[in-house]
Amino acid sequence: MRRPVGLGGLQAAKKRDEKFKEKGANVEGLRMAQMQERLKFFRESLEDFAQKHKKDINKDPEFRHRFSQMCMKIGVDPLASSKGFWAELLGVGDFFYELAVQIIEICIRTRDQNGGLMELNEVVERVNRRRNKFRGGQQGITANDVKQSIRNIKILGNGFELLLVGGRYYVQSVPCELSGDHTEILGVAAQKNGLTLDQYARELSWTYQRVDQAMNLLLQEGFAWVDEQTRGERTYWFPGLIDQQQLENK
Amino acid sequence: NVFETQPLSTGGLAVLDADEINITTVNNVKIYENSSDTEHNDGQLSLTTLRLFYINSSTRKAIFLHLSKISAIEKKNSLFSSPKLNVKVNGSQHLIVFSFHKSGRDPFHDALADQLRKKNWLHVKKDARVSIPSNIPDQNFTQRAGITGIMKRVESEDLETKKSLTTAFSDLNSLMDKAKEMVELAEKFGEKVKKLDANNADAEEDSQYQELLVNLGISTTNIVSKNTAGARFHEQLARQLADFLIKPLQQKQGIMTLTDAFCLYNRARGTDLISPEDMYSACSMLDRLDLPMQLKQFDSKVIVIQLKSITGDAEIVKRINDLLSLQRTIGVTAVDVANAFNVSVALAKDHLLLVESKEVICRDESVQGLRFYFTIDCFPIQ
Repeated sequence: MRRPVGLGGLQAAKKRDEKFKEKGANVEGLRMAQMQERLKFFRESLEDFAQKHKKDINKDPEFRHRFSQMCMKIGVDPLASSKGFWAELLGVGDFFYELAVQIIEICIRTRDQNGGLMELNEVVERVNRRRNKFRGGQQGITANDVKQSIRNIKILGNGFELLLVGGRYYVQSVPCELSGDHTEILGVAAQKNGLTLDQYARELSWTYQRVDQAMNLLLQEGFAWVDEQTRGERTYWFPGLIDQQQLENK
Repeated sequence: NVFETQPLSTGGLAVLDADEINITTVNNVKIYENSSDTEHNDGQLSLTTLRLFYINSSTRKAIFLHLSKISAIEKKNSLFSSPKLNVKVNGSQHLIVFSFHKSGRDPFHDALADQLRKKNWLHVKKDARVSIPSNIPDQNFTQRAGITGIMKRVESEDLETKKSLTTAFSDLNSLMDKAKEMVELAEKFGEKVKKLDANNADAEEDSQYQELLVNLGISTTNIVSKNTAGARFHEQLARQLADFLIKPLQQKQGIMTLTDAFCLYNRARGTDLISPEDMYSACSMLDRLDLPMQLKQFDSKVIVIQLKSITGDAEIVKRINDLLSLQRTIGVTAVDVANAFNVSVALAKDHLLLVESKEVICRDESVQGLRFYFTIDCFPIQ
C-alpha cells in the first residue's frame, strides 16, 4: 500500500496521528485487527525516521546514546530481536551486534597475553582502530557504546563483564571457570610459597590486576591464605601445597 | 523408488553441495506417490538450486529429488482439501503429489518453476561436491563477505550531506512519543488478553500479539503462549549452531562461554547477524533437540556451551571415578582434578560438586582444604 505523498498526504498523516492519540486510551473494545492497524501506522513513522536518520545512528555517538536512553525509558529494547522493526528498518541491530562481535573478538585475540582482562579504554581504542581500517577515519565508538554493547550481551551469561578495579574500568572476558590463571599461580606457589602480589606479577609477567583477580578466587575457595604480618606486606600461602611438599620430603 | 536418501548433518539439517543454494522452505507438507499414501505425513519441503529436499518431521530422515528428473509440475486445487502440487518425474512414469497443509503452495510452485527454467545443474561442474556444506557459514569465507558489506556502507555514507542535529533530535522525540503510546497500548491490550477465559483464547490472535511485541521490541519472556510458531526460527538456528560449533568446541576441550560462541558464529555469518536473545533462545533448545551439545549455567551465572561427549554429566562422573580410584586413600582435591583434566580450578571444583551431588563421593573439610573420597570408603556398609 503506497503512502500518500505531498500536502494531501501530510494532512492525512496528521489526521491519523490525532486519531491515534484520542483512541489511545480506549482499549476495551479494541480487536487485534485494530491493533495491527495501529502497528502499521507506527511502522510507517519508523520508516520515515529511518529514511532520514539511519545514518545518524551509525555516525553520531551522541545521537546513538540518546536513542538508546529513550528506548530504555519507554521500556523498549531495539536490539531484542533481529526480527523486530527496529533492527529491520533502522538497522540498529546490525550496528550493535556488529560492535559486540568486534569487542568480543578483540578480547579473544588478546587473551593469551592478558588472561582475559583488558582496560576499557584499550578496548575502545582497539575497536576504533579496527573500524577505521575499513571506514577511512570516521570518528566512531565511545566508551558509552562499548558499555552499552556489554549490557546488551548480558543475556549470554556473566562470562563477559565490566569490572571496576582501583578506579578503572576493565573488560573481563574469561570467567574463572575457564581460566588457567589459578593453576599457574599454584604452579609458582609450589616452587616459592609466601610471595607478595607484586612478586607473583613479576614471576608470571602479568599485570598486578590480573594477579589480584586470580588470587581473589583462590582466597575465596580457601586454597590461599594471606599473612599481613611480615613487614606490613601481604604475602600469600597455600596450606595444601605445604603438606604436599612435606609429604614429598619424607 | 524415485527419491534418494542422504544423511542429515549433526545439527539435523540437509547437507548441500558446495555450489548449491537454498531457495525456499515450507513446513507441514505431506507426500503422496502415484495416488497412495506414503510414510511421509508431515515434513519440511525445501527447494535448492539443484534439488527438492524433504525432511520427515517424525523420523527426521531426509530424502531428495534432483530437479533434472522433473518433467512437469502443476498446481491442483480441490474444495475440501489442502492445496497440492503435482510433480511428474521421469517422463510421467511417477506422479509425486505434495500437499501443503499450511499456506505456501503458490510461492513454492513459482520458485520451483523458476529453478526448472534456470536449469542450474547444467552449469555446475561434476566434481564440485565438497565436504563443506554451503548452508553453514565457513569461518574464512564469510568474513570477507562481511568486509564487502562494510565497504559498500562506506561508499554510501560518503555521499551523505551533513544534517542539522536539532532536526534529528526533534524527529527522535516525536518518534519516541509514538513508540511510547504503542507500548502503553500494547501493554493494556496484553492485560485484556490475560483476563480472557483460557478456553476462549485464540491461538491465532495470541501469535499475532507475540509478533507485535517482537516488532516493538517489548520483552516476551514473561508471556506464556500456546503458540510456538516463533520457535521454528530458533530451532533452525539451533541446528545450524550445532553444525558450526562442533569443530571450535573440540579445539577448546569441549567447552566455551556462550559469549565466545555468539562471536564466532556471528563473525562467520558476516551479515544479517543474530541478536544475543536469538542466540540464547536457540541454544536453550540444543538439549531438547537431542543435539550433541548443551548449555550449562554455573552458580556464578556464567553460561557455557559444552560438548556432551567431553563434559557431559555421565562423562564427568566416570572420569572422577577413574581418578579417585588411583588415590583412594588420600582422596582428591580440586587441584588434583584441575591438573589431571587440564581444566581450571573452578571448573574442577564444579565437577567434584556434581559427582558429590550424585552421592558417589563425599567431602572432608579441614585446615588443609577440601578433599573428596568415595562415599563407600567413608561410610562402609556394616
